[in-house]
Amino acid sequence: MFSDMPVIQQQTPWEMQKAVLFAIFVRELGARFGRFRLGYLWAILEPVAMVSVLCGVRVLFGNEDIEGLGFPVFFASGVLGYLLFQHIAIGALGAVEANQSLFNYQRVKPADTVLARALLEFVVFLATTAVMLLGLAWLGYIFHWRDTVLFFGTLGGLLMLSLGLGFALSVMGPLWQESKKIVPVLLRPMFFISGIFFSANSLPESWKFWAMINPLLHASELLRRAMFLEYTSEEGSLAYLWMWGLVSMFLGLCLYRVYRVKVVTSGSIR
Amino acid sequence: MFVAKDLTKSYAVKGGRHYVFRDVNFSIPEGVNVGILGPNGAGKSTLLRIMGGIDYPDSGEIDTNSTFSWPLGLKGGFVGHLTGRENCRMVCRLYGFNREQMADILEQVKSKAGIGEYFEEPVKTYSSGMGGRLGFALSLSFDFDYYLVDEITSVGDARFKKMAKLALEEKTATSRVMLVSHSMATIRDFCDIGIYLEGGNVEVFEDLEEAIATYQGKTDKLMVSLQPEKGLEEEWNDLPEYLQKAFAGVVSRIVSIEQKLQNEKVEITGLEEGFFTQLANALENLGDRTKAMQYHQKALEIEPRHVASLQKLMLLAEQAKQWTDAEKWAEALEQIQPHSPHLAMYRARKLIADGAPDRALTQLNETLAKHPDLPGPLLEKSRVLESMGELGPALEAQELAVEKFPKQPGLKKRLGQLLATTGDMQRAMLTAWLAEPTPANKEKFQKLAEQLSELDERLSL
Repeated sequence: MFSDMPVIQQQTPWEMQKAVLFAIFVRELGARFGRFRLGYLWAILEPVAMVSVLCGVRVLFGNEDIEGLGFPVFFASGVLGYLLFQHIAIGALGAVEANQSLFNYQRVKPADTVLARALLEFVVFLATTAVMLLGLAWLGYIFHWRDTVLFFGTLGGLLMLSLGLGFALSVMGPLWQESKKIVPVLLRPMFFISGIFFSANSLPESWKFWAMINPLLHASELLRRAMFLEYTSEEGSLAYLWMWGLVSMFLGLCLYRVYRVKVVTSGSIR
Repeated sequence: MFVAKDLTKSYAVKGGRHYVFRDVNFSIPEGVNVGILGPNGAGKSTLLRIMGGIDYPDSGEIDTNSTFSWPLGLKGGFVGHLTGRENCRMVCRLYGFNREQMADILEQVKSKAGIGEYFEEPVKTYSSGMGGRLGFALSLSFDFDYYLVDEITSVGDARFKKMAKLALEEKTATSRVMLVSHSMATIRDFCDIGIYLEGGNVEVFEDLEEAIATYQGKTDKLMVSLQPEKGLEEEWNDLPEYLQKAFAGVVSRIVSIEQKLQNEKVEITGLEEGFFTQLANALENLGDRTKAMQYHQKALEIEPRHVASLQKLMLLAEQAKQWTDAEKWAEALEQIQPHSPHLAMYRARKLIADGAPDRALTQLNETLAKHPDLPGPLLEKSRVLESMGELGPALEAQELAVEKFPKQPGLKKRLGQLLATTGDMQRAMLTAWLAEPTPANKEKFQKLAEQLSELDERLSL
């Protein structure tokens, strides 16, 4: 009857993985942007609100550019990158439980929920970045795109860093419920030390050493350097970011591997 | 095919571990429907989940090339706040179907699941039966080698069982079912072999009845160890143990009952007619018609208007060709239940025996008009028509019977025979096969083809 149906026995592992990721992606998309206007609105509203607050504070200290960029542009580029990291990591905490019923299907693994969510966050990041840049340009700020390769190179490192943490948190969340409250609190300080509203360049030498341990600071710097010709700071090392990214992936996947069975079978429904 | 080697599965419980399986080895052969039996907590659902790939053993190996459905249960695998349709779309996506394929599948599922417009309602509003039907209907749209069904879906809902049986029959060439159930009727209906789980052990029984007997663990308290009669020893010893026990049980119980009944001291007057009717039916099942009639008459002594026994006496007398007696009972029955379908059918058969088939036909048509939901009259009608040589109408009647009562394989078989008589050989064979899609039956047709070709070859030389 259905001779053109994908015969399950003949699907390659890659085809199966693609199908699963797509299915969960659509599901997460629906869950996030289901109530049409509210979902889309908040996706752009969150970074805009943060940038506005930062601008509001900044204005009190004067109106100069930071490292060659108008300060809203500076803040926006910092905020967006950081939010990508934060959303992937925090989202991973609840990814497994939100998609619990899907584990009834053999081809769905906990990692798939983390990856699908991360994929969604990445797409949202690209969209909101575009929207914000357009908005800022329309408001009159001047900036020119610099280095696409560096842009995606940085994103790659940032994503690995976020995903590594995400995998670790995805098994931690369900197995240790308190972590869902504790982790967001622990990550909160990162907002202040990741170069969202300051450049590494402006730090005194004694602080800089310690601050530069934070890979997110590197990510901020690199993103800005990649996006804006006008950006003057030369701080930030792609290699360092990637090193962190790889280690994070390794450790995260190790932890995931240990608990990936327990997290779907403990207290399972049927 | 499914082979488990040294399978171990345990859970942590207070004060240690509870082992569901411990180093079990078993192998499930290809091409059979499997019933999984065992007491509660024996690990049936766990085994099903392991087969479905959503739970993992602590150690051991599993060897299989077959694809398995997800474990089909209550609402498992559905997201509550999404509608039935949305849930099905999600699962289709998970398995890699694109939009056009999905549209076809959704239509099919909506009609098969039999939940009507609830398909467009959130799954959390469904009753457990509906959730089970939706899941099963959806899984049938995919081509799995094995469908894993957990008992909750099979208990109670007759409509659902009908759909499931039909669907599995359709897919019998490619797919089988692994069914967990506590209902022996369901297991017998769907399965060919049985697996019995208990106390950490898994045992595969190629004889389904043996598995059932092991599960039911019937040990008759009054065990007269029955010695086989002279000359029967060899056959007796070849019997499986549970059958030996069953046979011994039958004999010893009959002896015990008869002894008690003859014993004047036993309170016979307190027994109601139903007791004797049941006893008579049991003896009839064993084939002792004479004794059965005896006990039916005893029942009538107590309650002369007991319809069940009157009917049986009429039918048993007919079978024994004791027409005078049969008439006697028939007339008695007519006094009490003139519209009884059994009576009408008996009259029809008598008319056939007396050589008046057309009057029999009239009688049957009357009965059919009054009792459209009985298969018996339709079957008799087709028999009468066949005996009258009216093969066309006979075929019609039989086809109607099969259409209305698809669950009765006997009707299909007879349809096959009729078709063969009318010369419609292809349909006849197909019908015969569908009535009994067993491996043995498969061989039968192959052997027939070989035999006939041999005969044909001899003629051409």
